[in-house]
Amino acid sequence: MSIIIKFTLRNIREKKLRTFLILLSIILSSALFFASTAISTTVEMMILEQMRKYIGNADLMISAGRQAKSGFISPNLLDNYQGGLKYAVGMVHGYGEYKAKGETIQIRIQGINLEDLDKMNPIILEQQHELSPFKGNKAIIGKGMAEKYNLKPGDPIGINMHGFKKWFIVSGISQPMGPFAEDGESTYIVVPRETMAGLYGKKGKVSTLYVGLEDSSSQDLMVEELSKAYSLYRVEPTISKARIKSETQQISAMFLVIVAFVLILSMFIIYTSFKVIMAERLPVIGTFRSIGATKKMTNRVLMMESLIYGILGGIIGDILGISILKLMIRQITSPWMSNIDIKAYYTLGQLMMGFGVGFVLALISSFLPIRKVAKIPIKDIVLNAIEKKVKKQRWKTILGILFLTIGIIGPRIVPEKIEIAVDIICMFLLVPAVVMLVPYITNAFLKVFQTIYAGVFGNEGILAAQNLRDNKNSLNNIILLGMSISVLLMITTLSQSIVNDTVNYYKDHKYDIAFWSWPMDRSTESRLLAVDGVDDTYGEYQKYGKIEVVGKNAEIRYMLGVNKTKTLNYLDLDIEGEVEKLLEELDEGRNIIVTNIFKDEYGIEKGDYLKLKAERGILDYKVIGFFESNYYEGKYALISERYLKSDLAVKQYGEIYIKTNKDAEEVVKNIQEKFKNRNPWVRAIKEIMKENMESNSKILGIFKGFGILALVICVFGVFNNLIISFIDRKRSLAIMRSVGMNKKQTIKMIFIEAFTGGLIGGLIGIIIGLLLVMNIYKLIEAIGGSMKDFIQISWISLVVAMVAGVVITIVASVGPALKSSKFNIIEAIKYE
Amino acid sequence: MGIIQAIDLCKTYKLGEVSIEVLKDVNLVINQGEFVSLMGPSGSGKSTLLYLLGGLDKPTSGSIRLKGRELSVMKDKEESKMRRREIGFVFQFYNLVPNLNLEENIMLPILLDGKKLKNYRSRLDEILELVGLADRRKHTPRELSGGQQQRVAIARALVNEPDVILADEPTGNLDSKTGTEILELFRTINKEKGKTIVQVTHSYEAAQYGARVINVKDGRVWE
Repeated sequence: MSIIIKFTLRNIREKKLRTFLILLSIILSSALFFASTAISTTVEMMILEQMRKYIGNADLMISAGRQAKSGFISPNLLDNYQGGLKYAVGMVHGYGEYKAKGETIQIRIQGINLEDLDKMNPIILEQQHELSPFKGNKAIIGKGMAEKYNLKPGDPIGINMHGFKKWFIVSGISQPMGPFAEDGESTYIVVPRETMAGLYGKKGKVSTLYVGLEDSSSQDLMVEELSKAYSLYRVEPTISKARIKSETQQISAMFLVIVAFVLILSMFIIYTSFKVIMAERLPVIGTFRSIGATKKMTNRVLMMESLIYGILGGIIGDILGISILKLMIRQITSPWMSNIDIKAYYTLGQLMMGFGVGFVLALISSFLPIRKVAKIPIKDIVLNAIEKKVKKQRWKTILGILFLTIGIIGPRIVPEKIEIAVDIICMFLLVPAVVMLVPYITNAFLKVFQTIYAGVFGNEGILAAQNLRDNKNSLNNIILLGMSISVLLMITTLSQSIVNDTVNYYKDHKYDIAFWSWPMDRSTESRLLAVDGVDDTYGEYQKYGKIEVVGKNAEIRYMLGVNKTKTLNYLDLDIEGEVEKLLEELDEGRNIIVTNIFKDEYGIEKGDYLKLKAERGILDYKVIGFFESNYYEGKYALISERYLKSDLAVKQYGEIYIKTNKDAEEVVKNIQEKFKNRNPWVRAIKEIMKENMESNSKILGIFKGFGILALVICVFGVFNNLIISFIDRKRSLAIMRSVGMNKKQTIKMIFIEAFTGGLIGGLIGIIIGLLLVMNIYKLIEAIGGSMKDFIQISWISLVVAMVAGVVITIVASVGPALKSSKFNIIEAIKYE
Repeated sequence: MGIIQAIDLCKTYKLGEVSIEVLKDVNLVINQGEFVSLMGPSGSGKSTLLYLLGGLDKPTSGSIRLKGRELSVMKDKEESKMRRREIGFVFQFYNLVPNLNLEENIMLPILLDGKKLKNYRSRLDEILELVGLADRRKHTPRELSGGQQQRVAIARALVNEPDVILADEPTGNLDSKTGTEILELFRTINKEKGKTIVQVTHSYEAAQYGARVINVKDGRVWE
């Protein structure tokens, strides 16, 4: 056995480039797979940690209901509730500003009793000063804030709140935990609950009641029970773990689609490398077998090699994967977290899976070539009498055409129920389809090129085209280039489409600034109109949240109250038909306009009645028209502002939109100044669009990174293939030299071959890429999105794809071209 | 003055630390239209001599003249042109390009010479007729027998109408019947086309096809 291991290790050491290539493919596949699966865990944990900072270990929160006169409730609300509760603690929230060292920082204030804080979100005090009893103007601050502003126990701190300055005494400095945990964003202080309630004139009341459950897993059940028991109050889970999980898993799923392509690429590289390994090892295998080794033994020797690659690649892949995961997290988190240590959360299972992917990839990809060799009779191996005749395998062509047909037609005819699964399968079917058809596609291209080349490159062009015909290594290069370029092209096209979508979204907005600050009423709107630079305002009534459509198993997630005179001046609604007439009709009664997506999904027709479960009861709304929108996945509808207010009990504006007659940024500053005591959310539309695009571009940046890594694997694969190709073709080149080809002609021919291979690889990449984009668009539609309006194929991307293909092959050909001019013709021509 | 002339030709190979003198002061003149057989045992240096005469290798010392032009001073471009136009090579293992079909293999020297293929269609037909492969023109070397492959190699050697054909053990890989057919073909080419043929062989029978037999042993030649 030790001889077998030695033999295997020597083989691995001898062929350094090939070992590197196989390991690189396995390592990157493992690493990207691991990072893609673990990112959901990390993002989930980050969100949970971020939220835990505020709500500690509380499971539910209870606040005043819609009908409540004030936003405050009694802290003793649940005192008589029996069973399932660990604690119920009240808190009064507040905001303020703290000015020091020439800067103003936003402070979030938690008014809570210390014993309650200890139950819900415990802290450890490093220093304290007359903390007990925790009453009056005492405050606890975090260590970070104390160090930054040089605050010590006993120091006074002034917080600007609601237009006046409230002075507190620093009575405790906490370690960075609980609300004081460092997140680089918000600064908290904790003050006595009654002090905070007193500032609102609501002594004895709290704004929120936080509830800890005996059994956290009963969260949903308890929300339901408490909602029934306390129907006047709003009972919500503090964190919906299921929702976070489903959202973070979506992130993983997006990355895994790209990883799947990387895996296919790696599998192809390892498979082709092992085919070459097998060809090289045949004489040794023959020797082993002739001296008594069984098939099983020789197979074991060969499998041992792939086993070593798998183990090494899997381990290094996991290590690299952790770094990639951190990079991904850094990329998708907000800039304010850039100074915080990024923690990568992953499970042992995910590490094992990452390793397993590398391991299995190596074994599966090498198994076929090894099995093929095992089938060759010993006599044939020893006598080197292996049939080298290339048979055109018709089944491959038929299967290729079948896959291609299914891949293209499948998503267009599949029933809705199995649409998503079929779309994904069809997307992946395109890859083997093209791989099987590449020889035919290549030959078709070569026929065209051969004629053109005769004129452009002379006879060396014809020879180059002839050489590429049915040349396995060149075909492998074309497949590699085609696959990686198509993945990159797909990512680039989708990225561009998402950017276009963002731009399109904001094109619908005909205002300059969006504003929100409680209360959102007419007085606020009047105050806004008085701000310098504000030209006009529109308070939009909206209802965000689930509105059940009874009897249809449907829901509307966003309802817009249309003001027939104002809405269209502020929003571009793509309503079908005579818009003005429809808006008039909308205002006349309980009428509704739904999206085309909603119409198609639920088979709704004009004149149908939708039974909406509104605050006033179940009400019939008549469908009077349709509009085009994919917001909220089409679960979006328009009703009259009047009925939104009365039937759905919307009392305040959802947002106020502002048109300006001055620079929007300047007006934003003016509004901020005017409303500085209300801590308003006010943003210029251009700014929001920029932020959205930046945030999109970060995630898309990772996608592109994955695509580029696929291209990196491909580049090494092409280098390897060209070297193998040169070794294989050395004799052919020598023959040509012997019949009069000079060195210059040889180099020219090799470069034309590289150029042609790159060109065809690029073209095939574009074909697969476009087919993938078409299928992804179908997949997005199946999921509920709509991209048909903005999928744009960038011509620049196509040209770049072609140029990339050509550059890669030409650069990779420099070595073989130089070698070709130096080898000895006689040595190369001789048969051993 | 002959069509090929070797003067004081020496060739030494280095095998690690050891130098092996393969050819020692060889002087030789081959005249236009001659059919010469270089005969000798394995390792005698006969193939090396043939490759030197064809410009596929460089001598350690001495000179070779082809049609009066000194080969050793030629640059790659000039030497390659000479191999295309003045010489046709035939090898023991045929040395055809496997992925090119029969026609394409034969037309290689024409292509490499930068000539237009369409101008050589009738020449191709004529040669295919001569070697008896007119009905196999679209086949690849893999689809041909050894004898047929060697006929393709001969056709390739003839296509550019060189004056000299150099053949390295042309029948060494063939059965005796096919070998005889090939040698007969060479004789026809020599007689009817007036081509100078130099063949390397270790077979006495094959050597007899040549009008002149030159013996090669231990790096020296004699007749």
